[in-house]
Amino acid sequence: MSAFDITEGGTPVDGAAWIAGGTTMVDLMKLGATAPSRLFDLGAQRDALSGISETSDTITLGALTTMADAAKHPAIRGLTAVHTALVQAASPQIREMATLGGNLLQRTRCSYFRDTRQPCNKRVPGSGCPAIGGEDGHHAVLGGSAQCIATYPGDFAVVCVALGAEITIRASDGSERKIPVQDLHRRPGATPHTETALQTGDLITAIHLPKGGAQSYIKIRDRASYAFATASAAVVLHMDGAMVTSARIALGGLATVPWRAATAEHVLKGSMIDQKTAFAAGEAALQDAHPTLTNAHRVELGIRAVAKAILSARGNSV
Amino acid sequence: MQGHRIEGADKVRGLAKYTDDLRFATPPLIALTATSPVARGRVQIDTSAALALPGTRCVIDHTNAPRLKRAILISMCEPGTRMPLQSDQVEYAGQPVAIVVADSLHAARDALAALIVTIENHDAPAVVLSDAENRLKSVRRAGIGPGAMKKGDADAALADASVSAEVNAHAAPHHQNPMEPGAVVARWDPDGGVTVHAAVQWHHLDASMIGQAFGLSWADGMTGLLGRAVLGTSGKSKVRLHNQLSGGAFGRNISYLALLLAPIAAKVAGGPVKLVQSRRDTFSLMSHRSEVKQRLRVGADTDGKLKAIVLEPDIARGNAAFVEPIGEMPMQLYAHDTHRLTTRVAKLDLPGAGWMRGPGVAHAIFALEQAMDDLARQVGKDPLDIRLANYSEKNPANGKSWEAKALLEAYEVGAAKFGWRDRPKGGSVRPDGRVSGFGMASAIDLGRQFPAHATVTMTKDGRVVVSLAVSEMGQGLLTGLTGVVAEMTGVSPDRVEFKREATKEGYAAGSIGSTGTYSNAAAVKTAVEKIIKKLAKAGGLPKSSKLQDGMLVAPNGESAAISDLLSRTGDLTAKGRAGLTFGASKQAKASFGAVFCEMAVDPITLDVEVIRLVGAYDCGRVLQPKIARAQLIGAMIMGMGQALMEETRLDRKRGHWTNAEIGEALVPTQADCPHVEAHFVGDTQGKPGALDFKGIAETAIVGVSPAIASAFADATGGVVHHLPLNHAARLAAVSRAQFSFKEAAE
Ligand SMILES: Cc1cc2nc3c(=O)[nH]c(=O)nc-3n(C[C@H](O)[C@H](O)[C@H](O)COP(=O)(O)OP(=O)(O)OC[C@H]3O[C@@H](n4cnc5c(N)ncnc54)[C@H](O)[C@@H]3O)c2cc1C
Ligand code: SF4
Repeated sequence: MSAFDITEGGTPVDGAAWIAGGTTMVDLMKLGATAPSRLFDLGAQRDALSGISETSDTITLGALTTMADAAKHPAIRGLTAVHTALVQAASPQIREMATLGGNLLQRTRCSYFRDTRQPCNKRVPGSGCPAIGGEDGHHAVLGGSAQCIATYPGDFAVVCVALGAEITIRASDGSERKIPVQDLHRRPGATPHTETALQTGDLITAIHLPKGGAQSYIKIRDRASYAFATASAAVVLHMDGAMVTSARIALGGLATVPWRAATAEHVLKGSMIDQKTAFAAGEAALQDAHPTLTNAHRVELGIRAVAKAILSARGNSV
Repeated sequence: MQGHRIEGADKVRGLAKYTDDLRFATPPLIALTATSPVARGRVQIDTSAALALPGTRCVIDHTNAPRLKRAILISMCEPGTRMPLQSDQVEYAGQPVAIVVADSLHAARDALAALIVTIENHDAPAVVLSDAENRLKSVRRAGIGPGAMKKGDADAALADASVSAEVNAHAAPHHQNPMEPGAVVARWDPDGGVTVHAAVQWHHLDASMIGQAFGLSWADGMTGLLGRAVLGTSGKSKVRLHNQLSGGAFGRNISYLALLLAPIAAKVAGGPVKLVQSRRDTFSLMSHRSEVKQRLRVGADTDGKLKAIVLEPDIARGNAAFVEPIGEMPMQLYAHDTHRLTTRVAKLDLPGAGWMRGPGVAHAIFALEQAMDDLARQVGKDPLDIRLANYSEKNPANGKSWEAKALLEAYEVGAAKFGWRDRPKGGSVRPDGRVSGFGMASAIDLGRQFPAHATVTMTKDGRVVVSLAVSEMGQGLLTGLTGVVAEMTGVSPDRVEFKREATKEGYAAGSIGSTGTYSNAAAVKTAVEKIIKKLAKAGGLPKSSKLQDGMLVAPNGESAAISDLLSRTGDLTAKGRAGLTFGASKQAKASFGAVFCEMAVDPITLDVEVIRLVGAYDCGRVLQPKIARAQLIGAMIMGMGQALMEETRLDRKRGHWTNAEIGEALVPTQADCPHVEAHFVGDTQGKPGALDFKGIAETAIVGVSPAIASAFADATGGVVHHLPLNHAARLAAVSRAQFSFKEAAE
């Protein structure tokens, strides 16, 4: 870790960054994978920017609410997919520290990105991407580019995309805007180091989760706790009796960004859910996947995650 | 405090000292290691920016490191001729290429970040067996085990067998990853010797490696006559190694590179140095369990009785002599007529492989047990019955009788506690929609003994002082041995003192292969017997007298108080040696076990949950049931990790371990842990006067991975021959049509 300043007032400019719970930031600084010259501690704004409020159709969470506090809240328990995504993420210790805003902005777990001895376009633009053609077992099969195939690792953002959630952003000039979570993350394209739609100094202040719908989040991983998704799927269904009137589906662990699977949604719309339609939707969700020999199994896992999520969302609707 | 670890309270209160906690009158400088990002090439280092930093004391690379001599093979995971920082050749990724020495940890980190390491990259490496076909060579020996073996004409017997099975098992490499990343402190002494503080599993062996490398002495690694002939008397060595506690080890803390890097750094820096290892460093500066492929074919008669075992392992070797001893155990488990073992080894561009729990045997029994399951299916027998049908009264490899073998009892007790005979059918659907599977396997591990040389003193004030450099890595050896000494000498455990931290104490058998208690207790016993003779002479009692509750008691009941006898004789000291034959004897010795697994599988996601693991183990005499059970349960969970998730992945182009972090190299969490039961069977009390110890933890890792793989096959019909049995392996074994649709349609 190289030397840095930390302060509570003000807004980050170039080379500086916000720090909330620090569970991503400090980890990467210790590895040397990121080295902000100055950190702006959001601790002072914690009271103002945390807490949960509810209207008839929306739950609003302050961006500094911890994952643990959010998971405990009765309103969140009602949103099955959100609750599952929160309690199945990281470990209880990390969830006590980690904030929801920070969670959305967590960085990839790409091993080359984390190992400063290795080249990496995201960490050092232009240095190359050894993951392509390298050990890519956990890399993205959707949304990659010739410069970067790093997976977006988080769970909560995937559910946010399936729900159609929005965030409020406060810019350094004090102005506020709202964008869908779906528009927050950027595919790597030619600039893998630009990961989000945020400008330096932008602060996420709140997350707005729409209520309603039969929902489910399925996270497939290599151990029962404290592991990122090998493949995950979030599904929100609106049903008329046994028929699906609308569906929203998002994939996690498989793509460079929380991945909206619109094709799969079309497959479900207007159909009755059974195992066949569930798998058909899963296949549609992964139809554009670009697997390699070493990560091809994750396409099948993605299909299964979607199928399972659809079947359990239907189960949760009764 | 029966069953409580002697050092336990200190550990809980944070008072126990590990190497990194030691404080010295002259605080050491801090050293960090720069390692190569790729496996092959020539290294060039620009040190100017690092040296320009105010906190940097020196940078050491191949151009200014002291020249080291080679260290001959003792533990087999030492670097041998490939001593660190001796040339610009890079032979594996993660190889040390420089050491920075600085005033503080922060300064050392800055210096490390300022080094410019350039590797002129040449040919592509081979780091996995599938890329190293042309490097495979047949071997006569594979590490401590045989490489080639023959009994009868196994190929003919296989061809003639009524039933046969073939298993092509593949196991990914993985790391031991104990909790402690580790640090090594080194200081050169005025007499030209070196004092080293480090967590090790075998003091004298590592002292020998250091001694050889720096041209001091190699005799510390020897014992008995040879060692004494070379060394004159023990304790004269100029390598002074001190070992506190070690935060786990599992085979990793043997002959590791930091034991050489720290003295190198101290020599060049001209003062004491602490070399700190990051977690990532430990993946290449320390050993790992290597990749192994096994082609195993077995032939049997229509009853499933084995006629032939043909085992052909391909084993990866890194930059050390160590080779996973695969061929050693599979021929010793079941009765059979013929066998052939043909091993090939490929030297890969990897760090040295080394010891890890159940070396060789854990992999080997996985393959064998998969084959036994296949035979059972073919002849229509229950998995347990086919194992009973092949039970062997004698060691099938050499015809020797077993010193003790309670495997039948292990099968019986394990099956009864598990409810094996009344289990539901594999593939039946549970109330939550998941599918059940049940599997079982046998376990075996050879009983070895290593040399040990203890000095025991009984003092007039009623203490027993034992000089024996044993290692405590959390396994409870210290507590176990203290109990043994207390029992042998008739004093209470709190009057037993172990002097164990420094190499000036007696040569102890290393804490490896679950041999520590047995080997070291035998040496203590010999010494205590000599003391008894002296006491008996002083008290006019027969030599066959025993020490009990502070008394020397003759067989006829006559007795004398030890304190009275000692007040006449003064403190009594005796030396005892054991293990010079490495445990070779007329009888064969092994621990045995049987392990049973219940699993639930989600038919859509193929998520598996191990619901229950029940093991029954014959590990000889059980001195501290609580500690022994903890060892068994811990090893069973480790076996579950090996079965389901443990693997360290490699980049085949650059040659480095990619998931070299504790958060990415998965081991089981509490949430993964099933209901685990471990039962003892056999003679747990031991014959009076005999030691009768056998290995514990090594045995309990064996059998778990095959039992889990069998349970998966029982649930899904999918046979998995790859470890770990992760989602990729499960998906390869079970198609949607075969399993998911059928079951999930319910
Ligand atoms: C070992 C481990 C396992 C994990 N497993 C999982 C998992 O399974 N699933 C999962 O979803 N997550 C997982 N995580 C990630 C974890 O959830 C995130 O690290 C955490 O949510 C980040 O929140 P934080 O408050 O600590 O963010 P910080 O580390 O403080 O910040 C993260 C980033 O967000 C920026 N930032 C923070 N808050 C704001 C804001 N309000 N507005 C603008 N920018 C902001 C910071 O500048 C920084 O770039 C794991 C993390 C670890 C270390
Ligand atoms: S995938 Fe992206 S993050 Fe990973 S090495 Fe390539 S550029 Fe870097």
